[in-house]
Amino acid sequence: MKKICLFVLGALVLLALPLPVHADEPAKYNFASAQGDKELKIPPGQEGKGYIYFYNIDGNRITHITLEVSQAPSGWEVTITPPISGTQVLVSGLPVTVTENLYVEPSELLTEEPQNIPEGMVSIKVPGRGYTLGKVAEIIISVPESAPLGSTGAIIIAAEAAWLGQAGAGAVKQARDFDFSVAVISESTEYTETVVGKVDKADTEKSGVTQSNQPEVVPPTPPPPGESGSFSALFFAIIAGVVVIVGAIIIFLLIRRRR
Amino acid sequence: MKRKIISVIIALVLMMIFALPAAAAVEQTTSASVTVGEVISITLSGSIAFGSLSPGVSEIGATGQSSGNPAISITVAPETNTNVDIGIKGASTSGTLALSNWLYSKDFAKTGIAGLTTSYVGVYTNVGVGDNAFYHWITVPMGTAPGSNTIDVSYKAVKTGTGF
Repeated sequence: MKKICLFVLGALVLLALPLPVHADEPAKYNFASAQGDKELKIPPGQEGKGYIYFYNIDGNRITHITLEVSQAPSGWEVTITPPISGTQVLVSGLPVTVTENLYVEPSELLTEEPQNIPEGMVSIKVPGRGYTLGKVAEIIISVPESAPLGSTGAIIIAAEAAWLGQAGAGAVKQARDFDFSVAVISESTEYTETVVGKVDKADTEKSGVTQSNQPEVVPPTPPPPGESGSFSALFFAIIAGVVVIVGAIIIFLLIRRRR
Repeated sequence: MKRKIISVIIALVLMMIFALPAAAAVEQTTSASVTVGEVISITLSGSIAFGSLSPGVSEIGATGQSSGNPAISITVAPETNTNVDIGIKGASTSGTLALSNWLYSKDFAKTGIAGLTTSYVGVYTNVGVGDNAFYHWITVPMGTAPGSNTIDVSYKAVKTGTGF
């Protein structure tokens, strides 16, 4: 009985050993982000969304993140969801209000995609490492009606990550910018392509560009013979037509002969 | 017999009609693309602490800092899929000590030691996965008013070559 008690006591001591080690673990301030599609296509007068995902698998402190629009074309409306707001936090028992868009708590790295995702969180694939739970910020971009087709707008979202309860005279932070390039496209989803003419080589070399951010009005000219992309389609259509006509004649003759 | 011939001819005509567009498409190529998002994960560890100092001291190292053991270590995680440049800036949050008295360097030997500024200054360029050191020192000039001095030190990672 005495031996069993000693064994249990020893096991408890061993189990308790890692706990203080964990509590005294040096602070690690992780700021991890994965940006969705950087290039967006939005018709004038409509809105589109960009996404920035945040997670925290290498840190052991809550990451508080503020986001702001640091660059956007004039007249474009860019909003961030969740918006900036005050969050009540208890730091070692003391209430503190943090102004932020979102916070990301330390989370585990998972080998498989989580099936149960808590509300307000998203599953994030961490390349080469696995999956984790994190949060997403939506960047909602409204393109004005007046935006010219073919133009592009550059948007930069500045992010700052901060951590509470730091010791010392210097509090560390991290900053990161997220760029989005928005192409203003036609509302029509139907693909159209029309050859309007040749561009002189000299003109192309002079300008140094083959595409312009501003839409150009080019007078329509008929495509030169033999250079149309629809030549092969026309050729096959003629053959098909001939085959159908010949077939129809043969059938007609056979039926007539039979009668 | 004739009915059979007619059926065969009709079948052949139909086959030719349907086969022609397919034959025309044999040598077509289709372009495919996939967008890979930018992933950056950076972890800071350590602290910038100096304890209590008297005026008239110069380049006092951060508490616990030693050669190979920087005040702040910046670790770029393996999932980061772009090389980055790392910059630093400061912002005074309390006290009268000028920002230029808060010093930093990439190494303990104080190579390129400089005072913090309010704009980002690039320190590391084209950094991949791994650790990057920031050593910190402080100078307290004679005549500095007594009291607490604190700052925010921000480290910014940008995709290499894009600027701060």
